[in-house]
Amino acid sequence: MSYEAIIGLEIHLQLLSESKLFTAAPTTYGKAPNSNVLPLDMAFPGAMPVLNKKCVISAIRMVNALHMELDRLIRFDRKNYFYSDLAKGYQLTQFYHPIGKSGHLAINVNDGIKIIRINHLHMEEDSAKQIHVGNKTLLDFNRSGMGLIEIVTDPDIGNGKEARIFLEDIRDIAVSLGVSNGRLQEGSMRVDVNVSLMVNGVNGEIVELKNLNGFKNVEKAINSEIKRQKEIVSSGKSVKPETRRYDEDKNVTVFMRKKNTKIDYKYFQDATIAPIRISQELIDEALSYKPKKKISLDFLLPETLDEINNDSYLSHLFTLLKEEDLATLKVSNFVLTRVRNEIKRHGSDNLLQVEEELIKLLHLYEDSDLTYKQASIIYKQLLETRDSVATLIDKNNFNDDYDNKELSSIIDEILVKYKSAVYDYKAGKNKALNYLLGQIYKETNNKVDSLKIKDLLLMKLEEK
Amino acid sequence: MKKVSQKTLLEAAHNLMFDIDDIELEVLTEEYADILEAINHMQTIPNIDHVKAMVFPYELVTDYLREDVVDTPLSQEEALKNATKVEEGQIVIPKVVK
Amino acid sequence: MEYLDKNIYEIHEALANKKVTPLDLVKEALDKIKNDTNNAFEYVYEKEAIKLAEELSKQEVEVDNPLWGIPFAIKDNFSTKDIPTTASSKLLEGYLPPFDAEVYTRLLNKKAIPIAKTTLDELAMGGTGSSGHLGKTFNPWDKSKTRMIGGSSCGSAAACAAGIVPFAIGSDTGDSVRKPASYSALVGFKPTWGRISRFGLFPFAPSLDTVAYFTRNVKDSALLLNVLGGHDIKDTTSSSIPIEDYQSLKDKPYKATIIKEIYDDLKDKTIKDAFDKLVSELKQKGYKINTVSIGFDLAKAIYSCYYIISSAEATSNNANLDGIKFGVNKEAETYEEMLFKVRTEGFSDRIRRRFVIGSISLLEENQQEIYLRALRCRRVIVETFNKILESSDAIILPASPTIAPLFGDDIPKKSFAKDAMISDNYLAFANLGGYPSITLPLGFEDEMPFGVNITSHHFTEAKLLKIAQTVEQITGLKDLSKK
Repeated sequence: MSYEAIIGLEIHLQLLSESKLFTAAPTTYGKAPNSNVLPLDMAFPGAMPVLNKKCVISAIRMVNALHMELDRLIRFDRKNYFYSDLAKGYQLTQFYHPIGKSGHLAINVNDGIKIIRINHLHMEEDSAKQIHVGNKTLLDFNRSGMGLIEIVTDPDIGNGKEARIFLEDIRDIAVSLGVSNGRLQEGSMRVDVNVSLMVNGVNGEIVELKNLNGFKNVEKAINSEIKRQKEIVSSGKSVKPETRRYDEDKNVTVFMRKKNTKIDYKYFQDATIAPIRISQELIDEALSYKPKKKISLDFLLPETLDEINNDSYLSHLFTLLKEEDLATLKVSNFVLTRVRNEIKRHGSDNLLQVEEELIKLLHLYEDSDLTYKQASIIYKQLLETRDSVATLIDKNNFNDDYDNKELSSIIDEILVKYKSAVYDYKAGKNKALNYLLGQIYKETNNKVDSLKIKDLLLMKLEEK
Repeated sequence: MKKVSQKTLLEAAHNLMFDIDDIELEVLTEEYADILEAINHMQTIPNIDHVKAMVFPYELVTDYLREDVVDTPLSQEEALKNATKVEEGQIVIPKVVK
Repeated sequence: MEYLDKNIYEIHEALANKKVTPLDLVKEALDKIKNDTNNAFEYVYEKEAIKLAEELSKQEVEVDNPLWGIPFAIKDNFSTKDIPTTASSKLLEGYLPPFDAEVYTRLLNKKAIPIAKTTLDELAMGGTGSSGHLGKTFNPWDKSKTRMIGGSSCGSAAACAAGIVPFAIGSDTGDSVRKPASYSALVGFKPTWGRISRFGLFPFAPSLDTVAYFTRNVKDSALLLNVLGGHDIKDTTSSSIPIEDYQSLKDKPYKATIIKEIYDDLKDKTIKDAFDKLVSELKQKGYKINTVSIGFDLAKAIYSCYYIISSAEATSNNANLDGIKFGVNKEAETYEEMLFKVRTEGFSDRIRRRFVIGSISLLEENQQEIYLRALRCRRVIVETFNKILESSDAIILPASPTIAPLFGDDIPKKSFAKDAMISDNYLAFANLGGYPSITLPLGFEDEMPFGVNITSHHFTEAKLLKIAQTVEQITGLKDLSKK
């Protein structure tokens, strides 16, 4: 028998916008329940939807990035069903006329490039959040009406790894275009996977995998589901159409529910929203956007963001960093270790005094004119002396003492000198690596970027 | 003619989350028969099934889109004042089975 | 001295000449409401109206604002902040909306005084004025209380016809203002779909729903359109075509068209004679009037087309009524059980049946043959009427083939497919096509009024109102009310 896994993805991305898809209610997180709603979000009768321009711009960018055909006339349809999290009793979506059709994305896989076709992309609204507690359900409509785009692929994906790479690419595109922050863990990106097995050229029943959190888990879930389906087919049975979730600990998919007879959603075009013609100006506006790497703090953990927001000086500093285009992972890490320590110990008074110089320092660090170690030294001296950064750099005499060649020979010497540590490292003792690094730092008077040293050292150890 | 059984009618009612009793179902069946006759009648209009469906009463296109600017939301109190049961700012309903 | 049976301009003049104050008007209205026996009111603004009137009575009359201090009534399917709004459905009893409808806001901004929310057929779905949770609304012209005033805007019609308010806001999805106007000697005006914002109007069938209203004469209707008409960013289907000065009404002979099949269906001789007389008098004024045939089958399809489309839209629009966020909740063990209780007990059986019909027509397996066929039929009907209105200024016909029917005349239910009743149900063509359409008094039979309807092309309200005023001059029937 020949098997081929047939995999399609349905990806929901929560759109980054200040207000919701159809109302001007804020999209801010962490607000008290039911305090981010306008009448339509709770379906109070007579409220009407007015489409958010930013969400359309985001959709256009994705349509463009995924090489799709853009439908220049925006229309919405109603998906009719009853559920406790669906305020209106229907969801506004684009069933008949998705904004994007027939696209593709090329992904890098082991044996080269693979094209994944994208069937369509449409805008739709999110539902309310509900929590089930005992015999009751609690409803919070803050999420109700937030903008989503759904991307539906053709079944062109062959295994878990391809799915993961595809999803990571989609995430990267969405993040760099300012469309979504694409966090799978937090639900701003959600993925449903359809997996079936083609056996001797015949399509099998489709199993849907839901509630997948984490890109790695998507890969593992798909692979284990393929394995499961192969086992079923090999034993002469047939796969049943059902919905399954992934049990991370056991690395298996687990039955959730049978696929009921297809629900009839009674789709029809909504007549409360006037169809919108997408003008060339709007397309130009959407596509004039240059992806910037340094735009947001999306790479930070939500807890860290909370901490920043709760600390008046840190939040002030990060606002400055954003303005200075310094809100990068690298600088953030520096600030969150060094500066945070200072605040903890002495409060923010000192920092305010040297703020201008601190920003200069961070620019030098971001541009790699200073190593982490060097920046730390200057930072410490800055707080103590309040001299200018330029003066301090001069004083420290950091001129590139060690070029790569010199560094290389220093490392070579150390590796000879501490042979036993090298053997230990080879035997799997990670502590030995730190020991070796320590020796090199000492030898270079802490004047070389530790990462640079580590890279070089690892390379050399590899060669041994 | 597109006949629909009483079972289908009842099922449609249940999907709309309400019940209809036997007497109502009888009336509904008659009313539905009327609809069938009406749609059959529509077929007497020449070429009807090749005409483009008309959703709006006239050609309607706008280019208006709302700028992404936040408006003051309802206060939690306003949002919840019509709900029967509220706990810690959330609306309480009996557990959802499905 | 009573004032509220007069028209808006007359009351305004009395206010401007200090013959009467807003407070006097409010007291007169509240007094009349107290003694009214037509069951027209859902909620009466007793305290609110007095308070507002007291404030206004301290101020100078705005002489260039004829709505200043004028009491009005509004159908209970318009959202009014913190004022109970039920759409005459049991399910919505006690609902206090968190926002105001746009038309209501505009009237408040003009310092008109809301005096009452009025009854309607449940959720505006019906034409008898008897299906709301408060039961029948009566026709002030019929003291025996056996005749309907028609619906669904029954309470607004009754309040205006009884001389309680000089104007009342309603909504018109099939003929819900224009038909009751015919039965109660009022002017009932439905402007072009999209002319007035629907923000805050409870949706019944948004592709047909129109804000509409009752007045005692055509001039008042024109005045209100200048206040209520125009684009609203909260309703994207509201038109950005600028409004005109609808009040500068000058006479000019136009061309009007009678639809043969509808005219031929008329059986009542009094109504037919009155209409014929009007036509000949219009001709004397230089009007060109012709008769056009649209074919019996198409005329007959108007109502079923309307019925299928409106039912389908309605079933979706009212899916928000679950008693969770608002509305009457029920105790239950599970969510599903709760919804069943709320919606089974909250809606009348008539509404539930109509929802089922709408729902069936949208099912994937039926959609082509039922819902979409109705939408195709809609295009054929609308293109037919567009063509007529491209070569004629207006379509003119009796608004109803009879005077107000007796309650119970519709039971057993009219079978619209079998008995065509073309002349009784044709007004919905103006909703299918979104045309401006106005009903005004034409005559009386057994002391009960009947009306004439005039419909024109999209956004030609100025012309339509001119024609209507000419008709009003001919009939001499205006500023009518019945105590």
